[in-house]
Amino acid sequence: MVHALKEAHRVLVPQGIIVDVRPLSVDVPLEILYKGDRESAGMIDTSPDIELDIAADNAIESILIGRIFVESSKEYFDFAYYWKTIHEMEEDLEEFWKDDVILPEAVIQQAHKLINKQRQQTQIRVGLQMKLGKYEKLG
Amino acid sequence: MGPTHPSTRTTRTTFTRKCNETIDSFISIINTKKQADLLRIRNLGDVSLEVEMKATRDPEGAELHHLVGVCDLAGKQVLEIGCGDGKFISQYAGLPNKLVGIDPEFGDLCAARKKISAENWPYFIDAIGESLPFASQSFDLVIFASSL
Repeated sequence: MVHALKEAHRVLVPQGIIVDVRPLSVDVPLEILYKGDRESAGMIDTSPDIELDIAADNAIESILIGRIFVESSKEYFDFAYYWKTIHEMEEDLEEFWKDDVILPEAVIQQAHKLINKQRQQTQIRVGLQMKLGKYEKLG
Repeated sequence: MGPTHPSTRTTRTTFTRKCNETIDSFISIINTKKQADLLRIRNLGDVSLEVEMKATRDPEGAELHHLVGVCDLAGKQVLEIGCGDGKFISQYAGLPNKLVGIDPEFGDLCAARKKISAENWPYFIDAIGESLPFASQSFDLVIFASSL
C-alpha cells in the first residue's frame, strides 16, 4: 500500500491530489425497506476486513508522517446497496463479498420474516460506512 | 465473440478513429510493455468475462457526490487505481480531460469498458498500483477507490 502511494506521488504533478475512498470495517445493518418506512433485520459483521482497513490507515499515516502528502480533508458518508430479494443478496454476497462479511443466520431468518409481510415496495438495503480522504502532494 | 450489432458498429468505428487520433499523444507517457496492454483492451469488442452484481449500487450517488464535492475533475488528468469493473469510474468518465483506469484483472477492465459510452471511454490498462506504467508528473489527481 505504501508503495502504491509512493508511486502515486511520483506520477502526480506538484500539488497533485490523491483521493482515498473506501468502506470502513464496521458492522452495518441489513434493513428491509418498504413504503414509507424501514426495519432492521440485524447487523452484518464486516470485521474480516479489519486488518486491511488498519493496513490502509497505517499506509496513509506513513505518507503523512513522511511529509510527502498533507491531509486536505476527510469525511464520512453512507453508501448503500439495494436488492429486490434475499436470494439475490445472498448470491451477491457469495460471489463478491464471501471473505469480507459474515451474515449471521439469525439475521437472514429475520430478513425473511420481514420480507414475508409482503408490504408494498419492499427492498433490502445494506448501508456501508465510507471514508473519503483527500491528500495533497508535497515536495 | 458474437456478431456485432449493426447499431453499435458505427459507434465503435468512430471510437476507434478517435482513439487512434488521440492515443499517440497519450502513449508517450506509457512504457513500451504497457502499450501492448492498452492496444489489447482497446480492441476488446463485446467481450465480458465478469459476473455482474444483482444489487443496485449507490443509487443516491453518494460516492460521486462526495468525490466532486472535494475535487474539481473538469479539465484534469485523472488516474483511478483499482478501477475494477468500472462501477465508480463509469460515473465520472465524462468529466476529466483525460482519464485512465488501471486494474490487474483483465476481465474487470473488459466489463468496465462496457459500462461507459464510447465518447467518454477512459484508457484502460492492466497494471498494479505498486508499479505504475506512467512517466513522472503525468496526473493531477489519483483516486484509490476501495483499492488501498
